[in-house]
Amino acid sequence: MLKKLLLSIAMLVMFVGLQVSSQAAETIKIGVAFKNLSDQFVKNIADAVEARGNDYDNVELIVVDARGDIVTQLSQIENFISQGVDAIILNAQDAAGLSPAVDRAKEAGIPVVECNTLTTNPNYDIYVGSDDVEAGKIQGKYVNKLLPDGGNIIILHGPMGQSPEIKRREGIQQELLDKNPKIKVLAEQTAEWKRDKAMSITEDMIQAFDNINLICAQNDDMAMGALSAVDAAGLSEKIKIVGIDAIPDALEAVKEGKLACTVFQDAKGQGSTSVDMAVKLAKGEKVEKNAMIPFILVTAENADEFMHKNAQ
Amino acid sequence: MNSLLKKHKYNFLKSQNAGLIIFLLVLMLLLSFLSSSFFTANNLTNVIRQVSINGILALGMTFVIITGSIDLSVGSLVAVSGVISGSIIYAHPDAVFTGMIFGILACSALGFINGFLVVKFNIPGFISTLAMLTIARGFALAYADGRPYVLSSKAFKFIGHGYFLKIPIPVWFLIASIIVTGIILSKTKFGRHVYAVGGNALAARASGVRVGAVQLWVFIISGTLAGLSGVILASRIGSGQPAIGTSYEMDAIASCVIGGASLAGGSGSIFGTVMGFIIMGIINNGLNLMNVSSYYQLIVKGAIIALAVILDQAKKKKV
Amino acid sequence: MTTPEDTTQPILSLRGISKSFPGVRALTNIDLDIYPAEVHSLVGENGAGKSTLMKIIQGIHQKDEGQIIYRSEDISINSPSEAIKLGISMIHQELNSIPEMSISDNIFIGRELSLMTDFFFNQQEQLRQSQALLDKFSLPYKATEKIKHLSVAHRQMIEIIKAVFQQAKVIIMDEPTSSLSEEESQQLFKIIAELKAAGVAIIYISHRLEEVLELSDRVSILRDGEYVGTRTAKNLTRDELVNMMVGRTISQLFPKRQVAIGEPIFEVKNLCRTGVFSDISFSVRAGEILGIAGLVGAGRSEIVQSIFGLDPLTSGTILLNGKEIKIRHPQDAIQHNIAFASEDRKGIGLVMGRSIRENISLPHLADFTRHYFLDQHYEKEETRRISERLKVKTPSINQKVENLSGGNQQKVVLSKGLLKEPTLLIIDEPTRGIDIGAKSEIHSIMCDLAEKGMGIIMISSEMPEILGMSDRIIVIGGGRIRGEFTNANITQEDILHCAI
Repeated sequence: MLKKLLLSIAMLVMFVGLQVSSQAAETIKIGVAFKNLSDQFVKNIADAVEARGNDYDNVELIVVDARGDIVTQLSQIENFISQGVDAIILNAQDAAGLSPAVDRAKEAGIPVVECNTLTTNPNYDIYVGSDDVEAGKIQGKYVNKLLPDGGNIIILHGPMGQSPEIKRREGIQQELLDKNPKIKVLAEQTAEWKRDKAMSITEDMIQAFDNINLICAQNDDMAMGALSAVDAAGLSEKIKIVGIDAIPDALEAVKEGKLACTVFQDAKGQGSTSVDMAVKLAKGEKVEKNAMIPFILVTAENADEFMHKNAQ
Repeated sequence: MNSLLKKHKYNFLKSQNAGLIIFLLVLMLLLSFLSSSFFTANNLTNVIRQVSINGILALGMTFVIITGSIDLSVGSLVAVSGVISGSIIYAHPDAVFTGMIFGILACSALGFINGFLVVKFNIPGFISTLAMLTIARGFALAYADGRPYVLSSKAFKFIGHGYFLKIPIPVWFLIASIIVTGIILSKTKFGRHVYAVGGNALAARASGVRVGAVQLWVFIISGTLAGLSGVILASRIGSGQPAIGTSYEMDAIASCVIGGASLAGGSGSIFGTVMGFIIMGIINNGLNLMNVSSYYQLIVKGAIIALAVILDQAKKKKV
Repeated sequence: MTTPEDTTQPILSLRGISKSFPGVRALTNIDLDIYPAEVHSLVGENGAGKSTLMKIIQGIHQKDEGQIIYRSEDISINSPSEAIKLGISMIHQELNSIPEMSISDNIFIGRELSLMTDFFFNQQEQLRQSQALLDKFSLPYKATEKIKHLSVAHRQMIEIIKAVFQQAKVIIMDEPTSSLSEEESQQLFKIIAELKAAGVAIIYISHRLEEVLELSDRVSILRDGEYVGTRTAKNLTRDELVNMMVGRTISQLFPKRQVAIGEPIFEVKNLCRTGVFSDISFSVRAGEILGIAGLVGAGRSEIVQSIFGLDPLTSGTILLNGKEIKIRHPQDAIQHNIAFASEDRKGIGLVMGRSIRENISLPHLADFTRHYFLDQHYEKEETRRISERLKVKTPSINQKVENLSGGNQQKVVLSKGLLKEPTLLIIDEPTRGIDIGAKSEIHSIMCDLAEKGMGIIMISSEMPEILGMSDRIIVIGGGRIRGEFTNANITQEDILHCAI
């Protein structure tokens, strides 16, 4: 009896749902798939996407979170396709793993905007984001400036194999390690973008090496973790730290001179541009293949400018 | 005299924890050879401070495991306590104590729910805490809207980074937790009841033990210690992070198991668990000191956990 | 049921079968002949050796001595699956069917019909064959029905069908009617008749003597692990059968001392637990040992477990020293100074993985607690005192109880109950599975306690123990009190007649 009741309620809900969706036929439906909304930077993009979506009268956003899982994201894209969305904004969890999803959307005639992360599939309509090699280069250049006579550094990586991890490392290689042979990398470890992990690795490194000049973290969360460890050891005068992303407390630390620099990645710009491009594509307008949002170096001098850009 | 000595030595080797102590000593000796920075006062302080987070979790987990259950939710509870205390201290930088208490009590309450589901609805702990693992994580993310509470309170920072008598504050919390849990487990009626419930719940009941109450309390203890751990972690990283603590339960469970606790219940001890999390911490630290690549770190860590348990089992069989 | 068996030759013969377990001689020199197309009943008291003998035929236990001759061949049976292959099946008291699977799947389990290769099985054919068997025995089910939807009686019949399907020549049935209604029993007897007509030999074990006499062709009697004889059922009366089952005089193993019996200290009135027992009223006096007799499964343990608060009571009152008390949890009973030593040492009595000390003190920890902490010195002294008094043989009270012998474990169970000198001791099967020496020690401890004015309720399935130790005996059958005897002139026959 109860089962039947529940079943009929479920049917009713589905029916009403169908009615509503068919009524909203004139609006543009955009499916937005994020890799992980527990990640602060991704959350910032998501907020910008929603804000921009509200600026349009006729745009309906369907926002989903893959919580860091490739398979979840694949099925979310499949759901978008069967829901018949007009465009998809994809913030891919994995470069290779999500490339079949792009094909499936294209086969269904749905335009795809790749946002912030790129898949290995070249069939997307537009990439809105930043080139992570660029971020690494900016970071590398600044480190080169900080240590002109060379020095000992430690590199904290994101999860091995993720595209930003590989590309940011490439930028450091090009602008720092290749150009200044006097820079010595003491150790490289992954802290998986995580603050607590970066902290304990840094604590161990401080024990292992007494000649660290600089810690190069591939994101700000790890930079902040390293900072906690360096601060606690009373070594903040000796060891410089650099990060990427310009999250609020990192900006604060840059302003106070505790972090030497961070690199601003424009979450708002990426989010709102993605929505704009998706709307254009849905209307059938032509767009460029790439919309690059530039990275900007943030140091104590210009930290104030960015203070509210990535905050909520 | 000679025979007395002999007898003494015999007893030590026969004691339940001898295997663990020997394993730990061998491991430390090995690491001292492999890395010159390992056996220094600074680094050992560093290790103890690092293990305090996992250590406090493992102490609570020990109670749950001895009753024959398991608490998978502790990692998420760490985040809950972090964001709740974080939100309070963010708004009122001086209300450090209040913030901490609320963070911890919130986790006690979630621990109570874990236990309540187990006792009242007869759901296995594995299931009820698995549900809590995702519910608490969702709660932490929703409560903080996915963002960390960045904390600049000096007083709060002291919890994670301060020293008292040259010993880091988190270590004092750890020591206090070890003493309190150790006394509860070995010197009180409740402690005996925990072992009896895990060893044979029916026999415990027939001996007048309120089995349900014991089960409820072990989850409350585990939740409370997860809360304490979360507050310390928040202070250590200067922010209440909703996404922190994923898979912390695994390290806590591994610590208990290395320490000789059986997942079937009825056995385990605070001393064993302390050995367990120190071994885990030393492995992590040593591998980092030697700059072993993270891929190999995973392999070595897993292998050492398996080895410690195999040695423990072999020793138990012999006795 | 391929070729009809020659009914003049035994299909299964046992010659000189003996079997010992550590400390116990379970079977001595048993001979038995089972013919095709006969219903052969096996009777005897609890512990007479029926189950052990059947387990040997089943391949669960191995015989120490003797021969098993099956279809004129001297064979050995090493496992139940070998027995089944030979054509010997057993319908167990606890049924082996898998509730979530269909009738057909249960019948074919382990010997599925293959479809092309062994990897696939032929479901259509299995369903067809199972349905044919169900129809043949007129069971009103579809072969696709899940076993869990069947009554216990029908599940049992499915087990029988399974045995038939496995080409069983000998089917053993152990108390098959114990959980069946009268009507269901009649249905079972019909099936037994059909099996017999088809040439199957049936070994039938039952405590219900009327049933045995009605159903069997022949009856064999075992007593104390020995073969007493085989009789044709037609010429046998119930009284003769009981005499053969009991057969011996009680040896004076029991150091029972007569002590002054005082006022009633404990009384229960109209205790009832729905579906388990009802209308139980009795009292125990100071210094008295009240024996509770009855067959296994009569509801004796259930009654005392409910009194102690382990299981719920539906209704009834409990009086201690004339005052009504409520017992909802064993904790209440312990607070009222009632101690319980369970028959099930591993399940209810002891925490096997913990020490003697911890086990003995477990119910009394509140008494050892001083200012929130355990006084472990006092605890050690007290537990050592009681375990020495009861002569628990161990190098140390810190020894885990799982390392002790059965007799010593039983003494730990008793120590646990006696640490605090209870007013009433309930003891279920005080000497089950322990050797003679430990047995008489425990009996003498019980006498000491009675002498001190303690009331004792003792459940025992051993007739000599009941008769030798009790001041008064009540007999339980089918969850009710069937009779009460004072010790003077009663015999085992009286009790057995009353219990059956």
